[in-house]
Amino acid sequence: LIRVTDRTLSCIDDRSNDKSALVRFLHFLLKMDPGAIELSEKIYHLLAPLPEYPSYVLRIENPADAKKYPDISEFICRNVPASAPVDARKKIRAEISLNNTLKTPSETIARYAGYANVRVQGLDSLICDDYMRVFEYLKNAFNNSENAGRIEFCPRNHFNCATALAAEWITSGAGTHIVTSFDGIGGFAPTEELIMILREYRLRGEDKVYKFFPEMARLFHRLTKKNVSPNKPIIGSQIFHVESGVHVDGILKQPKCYEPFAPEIVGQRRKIVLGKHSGTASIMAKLSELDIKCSQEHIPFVLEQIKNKAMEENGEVSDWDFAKLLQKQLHKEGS
Amino acid sequence: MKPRRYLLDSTLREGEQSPGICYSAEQKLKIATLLDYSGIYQIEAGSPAISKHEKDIIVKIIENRKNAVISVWSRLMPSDIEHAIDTRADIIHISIPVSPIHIREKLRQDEDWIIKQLRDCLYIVDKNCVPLSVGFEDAFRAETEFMVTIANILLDYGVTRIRLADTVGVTSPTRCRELVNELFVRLDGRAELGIHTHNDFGMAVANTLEAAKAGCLYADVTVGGIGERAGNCNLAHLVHAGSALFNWGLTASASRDLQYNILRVIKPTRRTR
Repeated sequence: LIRVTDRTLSCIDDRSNDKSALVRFLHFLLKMDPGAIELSEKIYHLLAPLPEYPSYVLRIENPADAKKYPDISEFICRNVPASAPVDARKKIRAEISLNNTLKTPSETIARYAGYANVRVQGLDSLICDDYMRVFEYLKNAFNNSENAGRIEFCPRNHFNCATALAAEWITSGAGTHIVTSFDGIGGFAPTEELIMILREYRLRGEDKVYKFFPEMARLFHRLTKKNVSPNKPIIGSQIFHVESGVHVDGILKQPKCYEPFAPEIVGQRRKIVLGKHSGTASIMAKLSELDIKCSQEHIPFVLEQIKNKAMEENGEVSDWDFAKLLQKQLHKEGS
Repeated sequence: MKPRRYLLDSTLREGEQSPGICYSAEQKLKIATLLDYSGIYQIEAGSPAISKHEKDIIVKIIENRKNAVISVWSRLMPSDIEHAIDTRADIIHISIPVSPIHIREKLRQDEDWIIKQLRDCLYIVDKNCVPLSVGFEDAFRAETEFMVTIANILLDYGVTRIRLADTVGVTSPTRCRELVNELFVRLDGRAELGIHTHNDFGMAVANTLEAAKAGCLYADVTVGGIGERAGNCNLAHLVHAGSALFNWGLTASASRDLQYNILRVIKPTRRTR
């Protein structure tokens, strides 16, 4: 079973004490249902008791701290000695950081080979290498009866390739466990991107909709003060804005021509923007959207006016400006 | 020595299709000059068929150019090609829809119509002796067989440059590698392939890099990754990620500086409401 561990709540604990926003954000994480949710100790204390969910993972600094949390069954710790007792190995996942592309066998991996639960983190530049070979190496290195298939991969995003590596890890069959964070905070693969890739490739949650993403993104901004870029894949506020005449025409005939998925799936709406690249289809669509009647013969002239206005103002032509422009035109015709 | 890969910057064409971005003539010329002196191999200057104003700017860009190859973008339409020829660009790029969804749903035509239209366009280009490159629009949702048919027609005409466009950003690195490998084999290595990716699922840089690893010579980028929807392959990100593997014509730090300088030109006038 594919399991995505979202580690957002262990990445933002130094940024926010806003309990109500955190409660709400956790609510959205539960709705997103990645598979597992990782928290820091600080955020755990703010949010406990936690709502019911199959897998919470608590990040601890010291393996001995696991005893303080009897209600938690899974921990992640970067300071677990490879020689930790067997009962600790079952509960506490060891986080191993690797910075190279594993061109030679790694001593760290060899040391943890017998460990039950391992998270391999880093490998930023793996995309420059034969990463399938590395996946195979990792799979074989940890392939013992205790942890078969349970190795977690947490690619870092220094080269902006973490989402692709995460997706390839799963689609190649190298592993089923992956670690991500919302909007990639902390420098990891963005959870929302991987979730939507798995949906698109029909590997997990193919019927799920994520209408709450825009609200989740706003909440994320409130918690972290980090702006979500308007063209951020999946959650950017303008990813379904479309201006190009060719694209508008194609989308109106069949949205799949130029949209990878329906905007409604991620809680957005398509917006036809008028500008320099608009075409006849854009004008027709805007007229119908604004419920304005205009005879067919005027469309080419109106289109030219729109293009000129966009070029004059170096930007898009607003619905208000469009309506004004039309009114002027119709008035001229009338007189 | 690292193998050479050639960057095609589409900030002036695809970048401007990003809603809310509309360059003035001065901005376009300034961006083109910055790109021209940067080490970028090719600048896609725009689509001449948009308007006379656009065509005039492209002509000026070509006049001012010192280093880069300048190409213009056209639909698979003889009238677009005529406009493109007027600009005297170094290369005319024709985008050919190749996926069933684009052919049947968008164009409401069939594969035979595409081939006929292509032959009409090739006739005009051939008559005017203009170098040509071709883009397979929506290549990653298309039948390989149809792409091979089109590619063979192009190769017969001496057109060897073909770029594969992941129009809706749905491909993966593995799929990129597989398609590039398959086309190389099916076309006996006679075509020079390029890659054009979109970032809808956040994989544009990885997809471009994997295609380059598989042998694609040309990689399309835009400054800041601006483009339709979630944008395209980000110039600085690609060079940063792939500088250990390839010679892109400019260094990672030069690509960051270039990006910074161009975004400064674009930013003050960007208006979205």
